[in-house]
Amino acid sequence: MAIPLENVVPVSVEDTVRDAVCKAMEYARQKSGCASGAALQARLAARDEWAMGYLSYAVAGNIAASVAALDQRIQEAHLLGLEGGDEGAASHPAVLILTVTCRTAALDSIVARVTEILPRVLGEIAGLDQESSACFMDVEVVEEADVGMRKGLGAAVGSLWTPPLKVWARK
Amino acid sequence: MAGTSLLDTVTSVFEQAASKLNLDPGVRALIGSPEREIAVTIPVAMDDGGLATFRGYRVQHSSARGPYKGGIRYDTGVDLEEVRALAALMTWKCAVVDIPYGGAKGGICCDPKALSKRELERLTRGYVNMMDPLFGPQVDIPAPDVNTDETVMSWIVDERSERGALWSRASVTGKPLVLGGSRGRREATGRGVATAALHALRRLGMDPVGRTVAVQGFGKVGSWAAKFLHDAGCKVVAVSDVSCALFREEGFDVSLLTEHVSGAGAGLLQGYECEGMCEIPRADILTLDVDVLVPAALEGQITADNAGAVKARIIVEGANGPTEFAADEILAGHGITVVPDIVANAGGVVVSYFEWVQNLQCLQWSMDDVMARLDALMTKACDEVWNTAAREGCSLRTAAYMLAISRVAEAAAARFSSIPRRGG
Repeated sequence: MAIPLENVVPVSVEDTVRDAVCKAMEYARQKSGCASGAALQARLAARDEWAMGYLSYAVAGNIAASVAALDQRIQEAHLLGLEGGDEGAASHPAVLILTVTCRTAALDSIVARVTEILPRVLGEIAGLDQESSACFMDVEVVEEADVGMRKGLGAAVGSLWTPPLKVWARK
Repeated sequence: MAGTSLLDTVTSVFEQAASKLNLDPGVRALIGSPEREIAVTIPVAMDDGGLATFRGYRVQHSSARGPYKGGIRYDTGVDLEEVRALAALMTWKCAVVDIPYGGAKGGICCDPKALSKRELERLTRGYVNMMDPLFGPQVDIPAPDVNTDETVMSWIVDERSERGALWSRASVTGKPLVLGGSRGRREATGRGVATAALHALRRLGMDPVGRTVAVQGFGKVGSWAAKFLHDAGCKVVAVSDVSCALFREEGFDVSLLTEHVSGAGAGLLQGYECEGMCEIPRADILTLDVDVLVPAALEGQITADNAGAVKARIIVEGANGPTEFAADEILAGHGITVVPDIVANAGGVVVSYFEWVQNLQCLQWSMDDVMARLDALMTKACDEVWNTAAREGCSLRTAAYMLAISRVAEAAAARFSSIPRRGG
């Protein structure tokens, strides 16, 4: 019996995460106007908000695209928590929200593995210290039904006050 | 989708309050519609040498009570309809706390993280270039909003002066301290939420000392609200964020929680440990048996589905729109007092007002000064809302809107002869 592709945990989630972070570093370097990777690392070490913002945006988008290629149930990905500053709005740490038609154990397993690997890879490639990399990004899975009912993190996806950035969508 | 629902809620509350006030139909139509809406196309030279264009908006809803005031947001979802609704809300928010502003909101439809910092700066300066005659310390005062910050505000101030406008720090709020920003801005919204909560406890004859508090959302608003409530003697027994929800019957030492979040937790509560604490499902924080519940995370958290299970005596809305319209009635039926967002989380715009006042007077107040003035202004606003609710026999939310709408209507009516000229 053939196993549907979306139910297969990839052979190397680590390679996927490494590739996502490498590409994100180049993106953040360009957008931040850094002359070199080392210059970007220095800005990241100083916790420069702009550099961190571009890096988390690109890491989120790359990871979402890679995981979505493995699981067709993923429809959209949003990044919640890049600093906003409304005169009355709240803010949150960075959270990558994957919106799915239906949650599966296989996807949860991939997400757990990504969350486990990401801090170490960020430390190695981006040079982030342990504190910054440990909670650089949380990855959460939300069902479309929860978005419709504004339940839990599903409410964040359609938020008017603190709208998250859409980082990937299935065409 | 969710946004539409929130705007529906706001419209419902506005209609309810306006009907209760029995407003003159002409005045109702006048204050219900924006005075001016501007849509512009902003050309931006991109880093790769190409040219891109972006749509920008500014809706000036009301200037009946003073200059227009409201943030500028950068987001892919920005459109005229969204900006129009948010501008109206700013009018009511400024009016309910009785600061001399009207309401406005602006935005640019863009993905800010797809643009480099240099491109964003050019986009911001282009937006100011198109809007400039309509901005100014006595005309329309922008502030940060979604995906804009003090750096963007600094570009706006600079662009205005580059364009020959009188150099005035008061033309924008939310600036860095070095350019005339105000002390206390970080704490402002949370401090206001705590003041509204303490005020509610006292109005209900409950001594704040030892009262139990649950805070949903331990970010910029919730963490400060928790700190100030803890400082006032309340027992913060539960806190939550996107990572987890924590409960401790004896109450948390909020300073230790904050220390964890800003240090080892890197922005999150997860990983915090102390004696007597346990983790609970995140959704359960809304239904804990506490004296005060502060939903300070997201909109639409208390719905018709879970409102019946809420056991708090008082809900103080730290977030915008955490309670759905349908849930309000259920909460009222259970005798739960809801201090609405429009007043509870107005501390941010109040300190924006303080920044403007300091800039106009070339002063810089101390932190103590800012906090004392914020407490006094918020307490007065809460008193007025509670008194209106008692007099009119309605909820605090309806009372807040009634108070705000009546203030704007009164000012608009007093200035009626000048208003038609403004559009022309």
